[in-house]
Amino acid sequence: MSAHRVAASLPRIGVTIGHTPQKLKTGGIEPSRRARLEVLRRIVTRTVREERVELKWNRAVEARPYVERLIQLGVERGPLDEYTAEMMEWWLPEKDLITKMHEVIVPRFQNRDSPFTSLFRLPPQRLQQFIQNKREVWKRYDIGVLEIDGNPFPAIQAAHQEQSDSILDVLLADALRNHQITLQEKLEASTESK
Amino acid sequence: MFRPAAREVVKLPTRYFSCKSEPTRAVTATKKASREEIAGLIPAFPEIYPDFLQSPVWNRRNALKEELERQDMLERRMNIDIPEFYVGSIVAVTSSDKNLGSKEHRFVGICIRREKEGLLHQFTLRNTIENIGVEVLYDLYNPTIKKIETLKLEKRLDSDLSYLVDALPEYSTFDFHMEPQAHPAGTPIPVNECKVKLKNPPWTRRWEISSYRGIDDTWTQATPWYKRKLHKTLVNDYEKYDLIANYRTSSTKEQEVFVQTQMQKFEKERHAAGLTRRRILKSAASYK
Repeated sequence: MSAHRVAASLPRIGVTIGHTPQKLKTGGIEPSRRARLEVLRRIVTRTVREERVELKWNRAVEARPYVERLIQLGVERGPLDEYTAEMMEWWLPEKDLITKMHEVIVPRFQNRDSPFTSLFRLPPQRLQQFIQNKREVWKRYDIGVLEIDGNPFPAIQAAHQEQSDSILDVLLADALRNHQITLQEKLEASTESK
Repeated sequence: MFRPAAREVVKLPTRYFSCKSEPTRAVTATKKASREEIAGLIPAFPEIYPDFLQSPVWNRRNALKEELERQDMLERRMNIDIPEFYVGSIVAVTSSDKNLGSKEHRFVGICIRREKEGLLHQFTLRNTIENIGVEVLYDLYNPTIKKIETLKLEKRLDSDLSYLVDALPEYSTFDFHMEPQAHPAGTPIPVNECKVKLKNPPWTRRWEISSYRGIDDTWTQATPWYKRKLHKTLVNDYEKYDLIANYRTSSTKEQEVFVQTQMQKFEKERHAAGLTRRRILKSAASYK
């Protein structure tokens, strides 16, 4: 049992969370749980700063719940809460990002339930690693795009088109529009005559 | 190229920007009204009813098992009044014992631990009797328990007081004939900020490693040999920043609301049947 637990419980996070933490490659840092957190911290900081980041798929999956939880803490508890402040300070070591979190990102999600982020899969990339005795070694990377919703970039996925391209639908839409315009003209004419 | 203008008329903008620069969306950023408090739900539910929480181990969470156990627990709570108490409260338990002349046994002590979920929920009371520390572990839903009283309703700085075993005996000495102290309804639960002095090491556990707040300065009284030994210890204080490790072991608000509404419904049914007036879901701090 923990020495002291978090004050009140938070709602569940609306994204997939594995039952066990996944190992992440920690280029340069000796692999440990601390190193894993350090990698995640870099990703979270970058996500909050750039709002849309391209990552290896497994890292994006692993970092997404952390971004969600940070936003959720801001939404549910606000900047004055002690626990929230501590977590924000650790996860976002750059001070301007804490301000951005509370003043730009959190207000977007005040009246919304999670998920607050989206994760998209890009086509896998094949990159050449090295050439050994005329033998080329290639490696395949799964790529994901992690983004915070409501960001000012153009959408990754095209918006669902409700109009069909059938000639009947096009004519109907035009007829409706003409009808609307005539109605509007009539209304204007009647108001002018009065 | 034929391109009907009707599309622009019918189509609504599917994308919106909700940065601070867009005031129309930023204005709607008002704090959600806490629906839970309106519905009579208790904010401190996980602290008051740790037995109704889910297991901290994900693969042991079984909705059917929890449901069946909850029904049994509610039935039991209709037959015995289980008061609100926390780790750090002083509690008296009267249990029946056929081998005693009086057929029942009363033990008074400070609650140092509450552990396990569901029907197996346990709590431990500690007291010093004739200079010997005594800890009694009770199953909360043990049918041989006749009565549970909270003599003093308060919290300590930690939610686990196991370190009292290595503390000076005066910190776990309580009078068996202690008068119960009433807690004024609607006021927050007082937190006893008493810092405990430990005996000299060796201790049963390395208390100084865990982040206990209720222990007073363990370092100065340690002997040089222990100071050298403790100095080498690697402290993992970064674990608390792992938000998702925390999430994996904690309960969610949705689950708590679900359990509380179920308890309210059960209460209502029993009250309507005229069998009892006993209330199950109650909290001294949020009493109106």
